[in-house]
Amino acid sequence: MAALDGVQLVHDVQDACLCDRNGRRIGRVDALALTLTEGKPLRVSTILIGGAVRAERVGTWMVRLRGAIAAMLHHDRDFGVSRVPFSAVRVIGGTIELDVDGATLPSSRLERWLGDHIIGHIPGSQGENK
Amino acid sequence: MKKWLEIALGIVTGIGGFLEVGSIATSAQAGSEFRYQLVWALALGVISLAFLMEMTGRLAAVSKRTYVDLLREHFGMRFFLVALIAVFVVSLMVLMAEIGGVGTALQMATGIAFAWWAVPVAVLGWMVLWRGTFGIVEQGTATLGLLAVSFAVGAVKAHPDWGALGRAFIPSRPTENPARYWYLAVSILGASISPYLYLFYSAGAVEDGWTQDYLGVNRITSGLGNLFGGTLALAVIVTAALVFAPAHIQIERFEQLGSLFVSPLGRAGFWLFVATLCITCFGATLEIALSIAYLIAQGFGWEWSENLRPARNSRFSTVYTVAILVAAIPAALGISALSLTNMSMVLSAASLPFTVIPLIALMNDGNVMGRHCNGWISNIALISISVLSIALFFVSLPLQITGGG
Repeated sequence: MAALDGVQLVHDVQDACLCDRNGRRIGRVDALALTLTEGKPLRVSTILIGGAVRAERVGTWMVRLRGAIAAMLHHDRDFGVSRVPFSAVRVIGGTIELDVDGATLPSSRLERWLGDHIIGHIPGSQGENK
Repeated sequence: MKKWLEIALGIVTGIGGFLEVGSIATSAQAGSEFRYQLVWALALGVISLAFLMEMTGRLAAVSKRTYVDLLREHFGMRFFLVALIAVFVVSLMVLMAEIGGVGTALQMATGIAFAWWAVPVAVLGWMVLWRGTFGIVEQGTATLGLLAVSFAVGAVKAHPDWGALGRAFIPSRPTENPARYWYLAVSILGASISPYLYLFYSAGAVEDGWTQDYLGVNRITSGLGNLFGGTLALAVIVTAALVFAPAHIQIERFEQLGSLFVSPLGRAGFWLFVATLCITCFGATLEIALSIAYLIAQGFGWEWSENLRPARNSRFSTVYTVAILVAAIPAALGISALSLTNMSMVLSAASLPFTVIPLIALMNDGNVMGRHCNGWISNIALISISVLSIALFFVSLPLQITGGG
């Protein structure tokens, strides 16, 4: 990743649409994690993607609601959250391109499950373009 | 040549997009109860929608992003969630009304109760979405919807008083039943300025790969398309004023509308009305189901495109599948299309501030629009529509209670 001169985190990165190395949309920047190492400036270390992270931004009621649903489904509280190192960022533009395979991320689990178990079994669903 | 074809298709789509269960029902009710008096509300709705579509189309062509993308990116998760819930609920209700509208048209054609048609209509709609491309959804039903031109022929043959019609473009106070008058005015505005119309238009601009070269096409199609669509809704007001009002017929059931064009066009008028209602409501069903899927997929950054095979964007395909099937339930349970329509049009009007007011910031943000920011005419129009949307937000529900019955 080239130097990030002039990039405003809130304006250009937070909530921006993310694409993987194959150009597929894989979610949005739901939150950013910062790392503070002694003697060094504050550094953006991780991009977080997923419903549990979004819930924290909405409010405690949403966190509780999601927590209750996660408990019912026997999932961890941060089930489906992807943590992508910020060093995987290739380009910041209209969308942010990441050097990852989106299909393997935890936040793409629902997409994979629906494709494997429901949508993919319906005639006419497979292939590239219609 | 290609641009002219796009303009022609865009105008046709505008006609098909504008005319649907809401605009037909509210226009017929307005004409039968208040003659030409509510024409101004339709004109205001048409002009507002044309401005909003031009702006969301320009936004998409310049930024290469949809309006929903920018709502999330510029206003953050909390505001986006409120807008998403408001637009989702309203769009789902309008979708229910459209499926009821198709069912009612089929009931008028076959005599088989509309409730029996709800699920087959939803399944057929889903099949078109599953197999069809964006172009088929956008232009296919819209082209068939050209049948609606017969409405204009019918209205002219009913011999309207052109002077009185012209004067009705200026708002006037109701002479009787003010609560019902303002309720119908809000319903007409809600039917005309449905959020799904401009969200769908903005997503379509990205699906079709619009660039800044398309700004002229955008301006013409959003202006002329809505003008023609609005003219056909005006034809419904005029004909209802000339056919139903003198006979003191109030629209209580959709089926009554079958006789609207019989007097000016004969028996063919019945079949033209039924076919137009069926096709335009079916077209709107497809557009709204897709709009709901666009809204959610774009908001959360999922892969989305009607031109991709469904397994390439499973979450997107699942949303329109579930939406269209769930929306068939009220009609399948026998809830009439007219009651669904009136309720959804009023709620649609109430939801407008969430998608209209943010446009003021986006259309004047040089980082998004470059040198294509709003000029003073567009800004005056947008601020006026925003004020109108706030007024509608506050008056919609009280009017639903006082004038809805």
